[in-house]
Formats: sequence, C-alpha cells, structure tokens
Amino acid sequence: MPPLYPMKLINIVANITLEERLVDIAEAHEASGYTVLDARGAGSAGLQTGALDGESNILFLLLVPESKLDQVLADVEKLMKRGHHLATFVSDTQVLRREKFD
Amino acid sequence: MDLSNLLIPAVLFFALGFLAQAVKSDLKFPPDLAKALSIYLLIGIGLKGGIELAHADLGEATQAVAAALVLGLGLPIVAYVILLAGRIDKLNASAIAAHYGSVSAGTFLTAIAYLSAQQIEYETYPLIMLAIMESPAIIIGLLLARFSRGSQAHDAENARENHMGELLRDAFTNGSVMLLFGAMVVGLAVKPSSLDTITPFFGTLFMGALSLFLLEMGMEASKRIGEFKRVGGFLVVFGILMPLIGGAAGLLVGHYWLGFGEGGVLLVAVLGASASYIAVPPAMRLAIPEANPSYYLTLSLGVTFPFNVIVGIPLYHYLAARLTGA
Repeated sequence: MPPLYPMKLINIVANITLEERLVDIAEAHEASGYTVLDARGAGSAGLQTGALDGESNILFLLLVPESKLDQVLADVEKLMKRGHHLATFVSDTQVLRREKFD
Repeated sequence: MDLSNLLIPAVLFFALGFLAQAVKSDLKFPPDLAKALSIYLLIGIGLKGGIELAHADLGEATQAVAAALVLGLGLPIVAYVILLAGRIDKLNASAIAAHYGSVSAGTFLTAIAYLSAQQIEYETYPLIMLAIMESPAIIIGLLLARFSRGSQAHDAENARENHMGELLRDAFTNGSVMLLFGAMVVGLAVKPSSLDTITPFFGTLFMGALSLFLLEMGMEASKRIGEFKRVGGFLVVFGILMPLIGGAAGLLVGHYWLGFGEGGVLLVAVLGASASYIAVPPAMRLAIPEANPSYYLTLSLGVTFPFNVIVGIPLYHYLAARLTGA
C-alpha cells in the first residue's frame, strides 16, 4: 500500500450565503483547496430544505495539516461569534500524496 | 366576495402542493427547480415592467416610485414596533420587519393571475413598485439591527457587516433586484420587433411556469407548519395581522394617493401585504446573523404567503372594489 499521511478534515455546515466568507478563510490560510457540497437538513436555524437561497445549506470541506488547524478554526469561530448559524466538526483523516495538500 | 374567483391554476396548484406535503406524498421537485423558476419569473415580470414603463407618464411613475418608497420604508417600522410590543428580541424583530417591508413576487403574480382570470384591468405602475420595494426594507432592517446592537457594533469583527457602504451595496446588488431592474432595462431598451422573439418564452409560457413555482411553494409552505411550535403563537398571529395592516396601507395608498382603479389598488395592497421569502432571507442571513432564520422563513413562507394567496387576495380585492366603487 502506498504511504498515507495524517491530515485534519474540517467540515462546516453553513448557509449558502456564507460560502464566499468560508472561501476567504481557506485562501487566507493558504489551504491547497476546498470542496463545497449542497446540503439539506435541520438544526438551530430551522428547516433547510434547499428550495430557496434562504434555506439552502452547504457542506464546506477543508483539509489542512494539524499545524494550520488552530488558526483556521479561530477564523471560523469569529463567524460563529458574530451570530452565524454554522456547525463545525473536525475529524482525523489520512491522505494519499501529501504534496497535493502542502 | 365570490370565492369561485380563487379557482385559477396558480392558486389551485399552490393548494395541491400544500396538500401533497400534508398527506406526506412522495412528490419531490428536482433540486434547484424553484431557484430556476424564480429567476425566470423575475425576468418575465421585469421585462413586462420595462415594456410598460416605455409608455408610462413620468409624473405618475414618479408618484408610484415615491409611494413604493413610503410603503417599503414605513411598513418595517410598524412591524418592528408590533414585534417589540410582543416581546420579540430586537435583532429577530429587525430581521422579521425587513421581510414585511419587502415584497413577494410570487404573491404579486398570483394577484395578477387572479385579475387576468376575471378580465379586470390594472395599472402597470405596481410592476415598477414591485422592483423598487425589494431594497428599502432591507436597509431599514439593517439600520434597526445596527441600532439594536448598540455598542456591540463597534466590535472590529463586525466591521464588514456594519459598514454602511457595504450594507447599501448588498441591498442594491441583491440577486432579485439585479434581475428585476436588469430585465426592466432590457424591456425598456429593446425594439418591440425584437421582443417578439422572446415573447413565447417569457410571455405565453409565464403563467404555466408560475403554476409550477406555486406548486413547489405550496409544498414548502406546508413543510413549515411543523415549525409553528418553535416560532410560537404570537409570531404566527403576527404573520396574519401584519399582512392585514400592510394590505390596508396599500389600499389607502393605491386609492387616495395614486388614484388607481380596482385592479391597481388590489396590486398595491398586495405589495403592502406580502412578505419576501426569496430576496430578503439571504440578505438577513448575512446582515443580521444573530436572528433565527426559522422565525422569518416560517412567518413569510409558512404563514403570510398562504394567508395572502387564499384569504388576502380576495379580501383586498373586495375592499379595493368597495373603495373604488367598481
């Protein structure tokens, strides 16, 4: 098996209007890339059916090395302190070909 | 009031969507269809507004714009005062108030379908008022929220949300506003002969697309009923009371100020009565993130929209006919 390298996967569920802000955070910390998926569900902001912009969520995925994790999360938390309804969770993961993420 | 006037495709498809969701049918719309239809409908109505604007009398159009600004700036303040009296916190009150000063194109178009089915003529200035009324309420909502936050607003992290230039830019570059005004300019600028090429798509098919849109909105409105408990009795009552207040304001403005006939007065009443569920919710998401989207979406989409479509439009029409002596 080719070697795997440890990374942190940051998962953020947020309203679609916040996509630009999340991309700004990823770019500010020179993340190698990010992935955005459309998402539906329900939570503290109520039902998110995805039918209209006000009720459409995204799942924003960001892979970072552990060394960058604290700074990225601090910026995400600033959005939450402002009152934005986001759900953020981090998981340990492993990636193939570390150089793709540097 | 003759309720058989409600037997038009737009209203019946709305009811069908509502019913389908209520009986837990597996009917589902493809993702993003409602967003696509709302783009189409806004362009269609903008084009129609632009074509009509070309024949408009400048003096009358200016009066209509002024009336739209008065309604758009005044109604959110009325809503805010009522909400505070009901002990709703200031930031939620600001966000909800912004929805009620703005307008719902879906409700407005249903009213046009209602008038067309009865072959009642209407002034076309309300089309311009619709485009004008998208933005002022957003600005009032932002100002109320800024005032509510008080000293917290000096927090540097809030700078982006609270910068007035940024707020104004957001209110006027809002997607719905761009589409409505943009299409209006297109309708105004192009030659009538070249409009013929898009008339089948944006004119002839328009009411069919509106029925599809209302079918899905009926389902969306029905889904929101489950949220009534979270929102609470006071806000649900507000969602019925506020359109009556806004509708009354619209009736008075349409009749006494603008001097419109039966159809035009009904349309101005609908502008006053309706609450936005397309343009304002995303704007409030960014500008007043502290407010709970469940409150404002449930109110505008789950309470006020069905109320206006089923009860409000025939009621405002009855009153408009009485006022104008039609």
